[in-house]
Amino acid sequence: MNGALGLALAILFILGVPIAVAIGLASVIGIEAHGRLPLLLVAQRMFTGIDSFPLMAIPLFILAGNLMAAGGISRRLVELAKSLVGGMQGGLACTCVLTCMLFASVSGSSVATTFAIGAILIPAMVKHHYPRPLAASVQASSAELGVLIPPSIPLILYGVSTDTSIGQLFVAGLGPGVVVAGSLMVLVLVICRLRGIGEEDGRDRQSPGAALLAALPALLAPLVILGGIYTGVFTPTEASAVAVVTALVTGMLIYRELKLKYLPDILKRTIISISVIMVIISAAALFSFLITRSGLPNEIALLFREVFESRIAFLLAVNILLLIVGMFIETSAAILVLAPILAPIAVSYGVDPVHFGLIIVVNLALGMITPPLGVNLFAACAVANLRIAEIIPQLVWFVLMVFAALMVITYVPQITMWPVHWVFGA
Amino acid sequence: MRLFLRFEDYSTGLAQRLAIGFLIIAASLAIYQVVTRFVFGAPSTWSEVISRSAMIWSVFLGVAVAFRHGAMISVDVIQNSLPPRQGLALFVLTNSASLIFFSILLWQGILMTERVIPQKLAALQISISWVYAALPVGSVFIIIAILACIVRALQGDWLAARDMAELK
Repeated sequence: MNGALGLALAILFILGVPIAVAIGLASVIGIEAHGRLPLLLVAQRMFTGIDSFPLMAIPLFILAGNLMAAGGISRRLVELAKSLVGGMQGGLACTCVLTCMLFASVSGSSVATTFAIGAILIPAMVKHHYPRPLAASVQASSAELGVLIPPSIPLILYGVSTDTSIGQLFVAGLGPGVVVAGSLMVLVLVICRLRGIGEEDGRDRQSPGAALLAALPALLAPLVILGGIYTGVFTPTEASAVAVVTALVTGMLIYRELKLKYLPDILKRTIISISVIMVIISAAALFSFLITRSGLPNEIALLFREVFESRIAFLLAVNILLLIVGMFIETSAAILVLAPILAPIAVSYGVDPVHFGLIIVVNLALGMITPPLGVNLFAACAVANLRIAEIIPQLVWFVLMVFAALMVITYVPQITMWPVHWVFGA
Repeated sequence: MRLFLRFEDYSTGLAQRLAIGFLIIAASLAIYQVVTRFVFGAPSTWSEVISRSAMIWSVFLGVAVAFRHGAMISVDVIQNSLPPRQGLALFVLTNSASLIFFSILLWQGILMTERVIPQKLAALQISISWVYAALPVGSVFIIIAILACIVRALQGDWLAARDMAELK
């Protein structure tokens, strides 16, 4: 059954069948090849796969993120970041990284971050004589922070599919988020200095005080949401419901930029994003059930243990595997299929499952900016009006930088685990 | 064909309105759930179940809208790098694959829905088959949307869309 399953999946992916359908059809073929399993599993597993209260956090965070983006918070976060780091040469590019980090704390998705922030900052950077491909590269790679800084959809998926605490994963995302953001800022500062770009970035900035005051309501939302999760008052799903309320209050009552007439369009876009991701989750649940039943995870675990003796070698191998997978497969699907197989193996090598979750997510998020399937890359190119081929020469540096950060995050577990131990105790 | 495309406009539009309605129900009940837990001290038992169920309906109806807008995520490098005729042929082929899959989901969804009629939703006196029905009902809307995608592609929409992407 495994052979049929894997081969069918590969062929369907390459042909360009939608990922959810490819996973579902491959599972159907697997069931038929097995012979003794009922086809009824298709309906049953696809249903139970998304019939889960923890998973409800995903659609609700997507809804909250879309409401916030339309409610005028993006612009104020940009002004705040600009007032903090915009003064240096290359400050505008740094602003982009920092804004993405702030925006990530209300939104769970990278693509949403790219559209919301990129629409403001890519034109601004181009106006300040940044080459267009450089501006798009900065935006595409800093949107990676969207999945590291909580709330994060990939971390929820990892938590649900491996039975790891989502609250702990959310705390654990902070360290790697700071490392990635820091390394991206260093990279853009060096590039700007070497090429003499962004010398006038310091102009027309607000004072930090004024910018902070204007952005305060926008920052209140993440404060309530994350504070609630960290202190254990809210479960992530409850926090996502609260996030929807805060988004509505901030957008409609405080900033008054979220008009009732925008709602139908926001809801329509939300419905599309939700369905696209949830149907992948649904199909992946069917697929994982078949894979687990076939005993493949144990075979892979045995193989790993024979080939890789040390934890260092194992982590390197997993990272390379995930990089390749991430280039071709959408992040959610990759997590849902691979995490349940790999996490138990990682634990047997003495890796903490929370740390391993962050390695997987940082790694697969890199796949969002690498062709041929890089959703963030597509989004940034769409915003910047560029073709994929034009952005690649600039993007290479950013990919290498994030990879270096990934290696640090992989081999220095304290970055990830220290905040977790601090909040939850050792 | 024009009649069918107009029918699809109507059916996908209906799926979209229903999906949005179910999303609003799911979100409102999730909020209500939080309120009952913090304000009244005891979380309501029925709101979580209904909220989850509404979300399932929303998702399977929303997939039809996603197909209509070409939003389903796929690896489309090969489709877009082939010469126009072959690219179009591959587009029709991959959509046919989707058609087959959702036909299977329609068929098995009906069987599953019938089978779970005696099962009740937790804490409620409602049959769980009302929720399972989202699979076959959603599949019908999805199948109509995919058929319309194929028809529009054959009428030249697909090539026009790809040319637009090239010009960017």
